[in-house]
Order: sequence, then structure tokens, then C-alpha cells
Amino acid sequence: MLLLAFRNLVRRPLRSALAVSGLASAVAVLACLSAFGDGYRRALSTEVDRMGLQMMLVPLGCPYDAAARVLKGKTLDSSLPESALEEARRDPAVAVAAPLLMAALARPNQGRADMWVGLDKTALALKPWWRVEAGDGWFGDDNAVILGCDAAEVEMRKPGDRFYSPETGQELRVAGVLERSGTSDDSMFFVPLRTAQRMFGQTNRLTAVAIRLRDPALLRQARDRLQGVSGAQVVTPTEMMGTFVNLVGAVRTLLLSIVLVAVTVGVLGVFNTLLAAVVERANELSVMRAIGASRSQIVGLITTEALLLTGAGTAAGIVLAVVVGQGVESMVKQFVPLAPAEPLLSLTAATLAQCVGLGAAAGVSAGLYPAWRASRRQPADASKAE
Amino acid sequence: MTWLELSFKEWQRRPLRTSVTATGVAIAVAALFSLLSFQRGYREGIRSELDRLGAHVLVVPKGCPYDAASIALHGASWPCYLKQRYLEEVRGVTGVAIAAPVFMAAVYDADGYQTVYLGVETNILTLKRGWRISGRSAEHDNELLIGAEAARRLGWRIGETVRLPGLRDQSGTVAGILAPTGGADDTFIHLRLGAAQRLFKHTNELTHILVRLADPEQLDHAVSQLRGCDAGLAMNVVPLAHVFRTIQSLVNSTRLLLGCIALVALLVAGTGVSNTILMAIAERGRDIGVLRAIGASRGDVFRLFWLETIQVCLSGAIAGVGMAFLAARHLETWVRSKLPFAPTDALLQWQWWIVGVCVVCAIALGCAAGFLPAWRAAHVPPTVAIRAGRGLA
Repeated sequence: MLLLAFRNLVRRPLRSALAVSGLASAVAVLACLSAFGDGYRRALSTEVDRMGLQMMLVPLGCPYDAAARVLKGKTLDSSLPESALEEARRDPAVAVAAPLLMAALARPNQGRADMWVGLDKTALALKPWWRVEAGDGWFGDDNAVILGCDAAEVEMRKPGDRFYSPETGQELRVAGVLERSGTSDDSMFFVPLRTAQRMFGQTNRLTAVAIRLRDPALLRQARDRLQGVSGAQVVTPTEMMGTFVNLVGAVRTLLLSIVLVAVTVGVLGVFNTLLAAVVERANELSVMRAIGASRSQIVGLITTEALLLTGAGTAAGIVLAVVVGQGVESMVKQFVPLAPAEPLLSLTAATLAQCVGLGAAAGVSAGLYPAWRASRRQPADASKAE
Repeated sequence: MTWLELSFKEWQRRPLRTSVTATGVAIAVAALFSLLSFQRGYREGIRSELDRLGAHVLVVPKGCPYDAASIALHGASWPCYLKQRYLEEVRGVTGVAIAAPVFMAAVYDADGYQTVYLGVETNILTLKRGWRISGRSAEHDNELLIGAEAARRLGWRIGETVRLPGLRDQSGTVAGILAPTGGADDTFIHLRLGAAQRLFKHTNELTHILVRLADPEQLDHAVSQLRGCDAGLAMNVVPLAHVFRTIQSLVNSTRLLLGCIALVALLVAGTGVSNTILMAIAERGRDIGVLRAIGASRGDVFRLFWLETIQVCLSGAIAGVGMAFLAARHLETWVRSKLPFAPTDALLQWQWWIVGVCVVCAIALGCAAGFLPAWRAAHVPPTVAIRAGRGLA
């Protein structure tokens, strides 16, 4: 029966191909989107986990915006006074408070911006995964710089090399290169806090203070106290993630609904193709009935054809999604706020199962009416058809 | 028989197939239409909502200014408060023309209805230029100024003494009713500032301050002045123009993605149309042969099938726009439930140009989808076509 169904489809190659390609493009977009949603959530939570902090003190302004900038390594418009750091360290619930100063140096010639981060020794406590691939693990003196692995590659520097930053007129020595971490740290330039403040003219200013608490249960009290630090406000990673996931979720729902429209249209195409096949082969179907095929066998035949068509469409769609996925990803990353550095598209078994399930449902529903119609043919109709 | 009538014949010949194809186009067009009207509606909605607020700058407690702006616009309880003494500092900043303090609180009554109380000073009237009040605004502590929608829902009339919903053993006198503004103000109950603060036990606290500048051109200067004043470190100064810009850029960034996917839907519809026309040509091989034999030129056959395609797409487009209109209300509630920062105005705002874009898209789709099949039909020699009968293509 499978072979017969397949032969029937191949009889009209162009028609079947058109129906399949319509469905395939719809399924491809669906697969991309659902893979993207899963990937986004996972990548965001890894990124937040890796930050190893429970709270962040950022300047006034939208804290989500601010946190996103710190996470992505963009410069903030406003900054914190260093007194905020002292206040945070005085708080009884705070175990570690690490100051951060971030600045971006635009390199229009290379079409990118270099991110410079000023740190002090406390940062190590918050970044347990901070591993040096080569050179020293920490700045030996004020003029040392530690490079993320991508940054080292781009700048072609090894530990011990000299490094001159023309924009800020700073002469530096490369102290170390970090191991690849898969986060935005890979492309950053790390320097001692004081050096960064001097380089970017931000004496006694900070971009953010990352805080780890003695006990996560103290979060609420600590938060209320630290909210009182003048010129600063508290953001927690969970809040931050929630907002982004919500925002992206809203967009995703809109997108998914339009994809479903596309799938519906594709199913209508399959329906039409099958219907035409049934009408065209009316005579043949009658003959089949005459030589002993039962109604249910005819229904089975047409349903098999429908499933073959949608199956081919789904498979082609998934292949298409894998092929064009990279392109889609780079496009999506430009538009999504706080796109993590990790790959977003991850075709999981769940996504695949979802697509295949949808394809099968589409096949059955598209084949229902044509199959019923085919089964109504009487053996006696055979000669009357033409 | 004219060309048009001839091309309509297919509907009679294969009503189900043709209508299924047209439905495919219709669904895709409906999606495109809703999308375009939504883009427009969302932008306009946010703009007019911010306009109605009547302020250039919003001063709110620390926290996300977008959340704060959304609460100030739609009404809800605030998580934290401003001290009333900040108001004097805000008023002291050069460039500030009006600074109207607001205390907002939302309560739920037993039926789950939300009632929003707003404590304001009379200077709010200078901000809300669009307000038309029958009666007068609240001048004494137990007087109320209620929005049109709230008055309708609660059935209150001017001069009536009423129990305040959601608050136990509290009553007030309705001093005035606000003419419908089309915004969230319609559902609010306005009290005097002091009365509201006492009612909710937050004396000397505000939820937000609406600031109108003497010269809106000086926005950036005024904002930096506000941020620089003594209280500037304890509050968030939100220029509404920035909020609008941010939300706008967010919407814009999704526009391309949504547009791409709508395009995919149209493309899928296009393959369906191509397929249907191919089938029609296959079935009518003999007709084509006869047409050619009695003197129809290639161009004529091409034109016939092309017209048929465009006609299917066009009817699909019209049906799609109709469908979008019918579904608009449900779609709107659904989208609203999914969207952060949804304005109170209608989200789907259609215009004639959107209808135009949809129709043009559908015709373009028809042209593209019909070209290959029509060309194929036109280039079969008549003898082959007649002999092939139904087996063509």
C-alpha cells in the first residue's frame, strides 16, 4: 500500500513537489522558532548562572536596560559613585561586593567595539570559572591587561606582549589570556579597576556592583536595605531574566501564531492536491473497488498518500531549518534584547517531535475529506466516470 | 463571453478546489492585514496614551521606569513610594512649569473588580487640558471626581453620597463626572491628595509626579536638572519621549521578523495557487487544444489562465480582509493578554492603505503564482493538447 501511495504521488511530480514545498517552508519557520525559544531561555539562564551573583547594584534608570548592558558589556550612560560600593560592603548580608567599570571603545574601522572591564580582586570570588589559559591568573601591576580568548585572537597577543591602546593612550602589558567560557567574557579586555577609571576618565565611578550574599535567603532584606543607597538601585538576575523571557515570549507568541497560519495554508494546499488526485483517479478507484478493495482500504490508501505528502513536507522543512538556521540566528540576534553569546538555535528532540506530530496531524486532517470522497466511489461507477 | 466571465467558469467547474485555494490566500492575507493594523495601532495607541497623560516627564520611585510608566498609565498599586518633600524640589527646578503630585492605589472588591483611586491636587486640571467635567472637581476631602466609565459601572450620579468600593466603611460625595476621554482616566476615581493619602495610610507619600515643562524643547536639560537636584538620587526621572522611543524601537525590531513570517505564509499560499492552476490546466487540456485550434493565440491562452489566477488571489484577498475584520475583536483581546505595555486604545487600527497593501500583495502573488502554469499552458501545441486530453502536465 505504501508503495502504491508513493507511486501515485510520483505520477504528478510537479504537483506533489509544490504541495510539499509549501508545507516545508512553513514547517521550517516553525522549527526555527520553537528551537529559538528553547535555546534563548536556556542560554539566558546559563549566562545568568555563570555570573555567580545574586544581586546587582546599578545606577538609576531602567534597571533591566542597565543589567542587559552590563551583561552584554555595553557602556552605561550613567554611573555609580564609589561610595555605593562601601555601603554595599558594610551591609551585614553581603558576602562579596565586586565593583565593575565597563567602557566600550568604538573601533569603527574594524566595525566593532572593544569592551574594557575594570575589576578588582573581589571579582575572582564571583567568577569561579575564571581560568587562565596562558600567563598569570591576575594582574601583576597596574599596567597589566588580561584578554578574553577571542580578544587575544583578534589582537594577536600572547602573555608578555606589549599592548598599546591608542584611544586612551595607555601602554599595557598582557598578563594572561582566559580560557574560552562561551559567554561575552571571551571578547573582553580586563584591566585593574584603577587603571580602567584612569583610562576612561571615570575617577571614583563604577558601572555596577555585583553582589553575592552570605545566604540567598537574606535576599529580600538585603534588597530593601540596599535599595536605599543613594543614586543606586538593586536588580536581581531572576527579575531580569523574567522580564526578558516575558518580552521575548510575547513576541514569540505573535510569531508562532503567524507560523501556524502558514502551516494551515500549507495544509490547505495538501488538501487540494489530494482532492484533485481523487477526482482524477475516480475511474481507477472504481476499478479498485470492483476488483475487491474495501472502502477502508481506499481510505487507508488516500490517508497514506496524505501522510507521505505531509511527512515529506515536514522532513524537508526540518532539513531547511537546519540549513538556514544559522542565517536566521544571526538575524534574530540583532533584534532580540539581551541575546546571549551562545547559539540560540538548538533543535532538540522535543522540537522535532513537535514538528513531526504537527505534520502527522496535518496529514490526517488534510486527507480526511478526500479519503472519504474516494471511498464513496461505487464499483459500478467505473465506466461512467469519463 | 468576455475574458472575465470565461475565467470565472472555473469556480463553477471546481467550486470546492477553487474556494479552498482562495481560503488559503485569504488566511495569509488576513494575517498580513492584522499584522499591519496592529503595528500601526500599537504605535498610535502608545502615543495617544502618553499624550493624554499631559506630562513631559514622569517622576517615579526607583525601579524599572517602563513598569512605572505602565502603572501610571493604566492604574495599579505601586510597590514603593516617593516622599512628598521631593515635590518641592521638583518644583524648584528651572524649566518645570507644572508639577502635579499623584497618589495612586488600586483595590479589589469582592467581585474581583479593580477600583483605582487617585489622589490629586487641583493643578492636575492644568495638565489634563482634554478633561471636560460636568459638576466640579473634588474640592473637599470627601468629594470625588469620577471617570465616565466608573460612573457608568457603579451607577453614580452627581451629588450622590456613595460608599467607596473595596474600602470598608468609607464614603464620599460625587462632585463631578468626567466626560469620556477614551483612556484609563475613565475608570479612575479622583480624590483630593490629602484624602487619598489618609485613606490608604501613606501620609506624606506620593506614587508619582507628573511634570510639564515650560518648553518641551528643553527636555534633556530639564531632565538632567531634575536628576541633579538633591532628591534626584532617590527617584527615577523618566522622560516620556524616551519611553515612547524605547517601546517604539522594540516594536520596530519585531516588525521585520513578523513581516518575514507573514511573507512565508503568503509564499505558501502562492504554491497552493500555482498547484490549483496547474491542476486546472491538466484537466482542461482538451479545452486548451480546442481553443487554440479555433484560432486563440498563445497570448490568449496565457491571458485566460493568468486572469484566473489573479482572480482567485483577489477574491482571497477580499475574503481575507473581511475575515480580519470579523476576527478583529477576538484577536485584539488575545493579543492584549500576551503583550506587555499594551495601551488602552484599540490595538488593531486599520486604514485604507493597509487594505491597499494587502490587495496589491495578493495581486502580485497571483501574477507570480500564475505565470509558470499559464506559460506552460500557452506553449503546448494544440494537437498535443487535444490528444492528451486529461493527461496533460
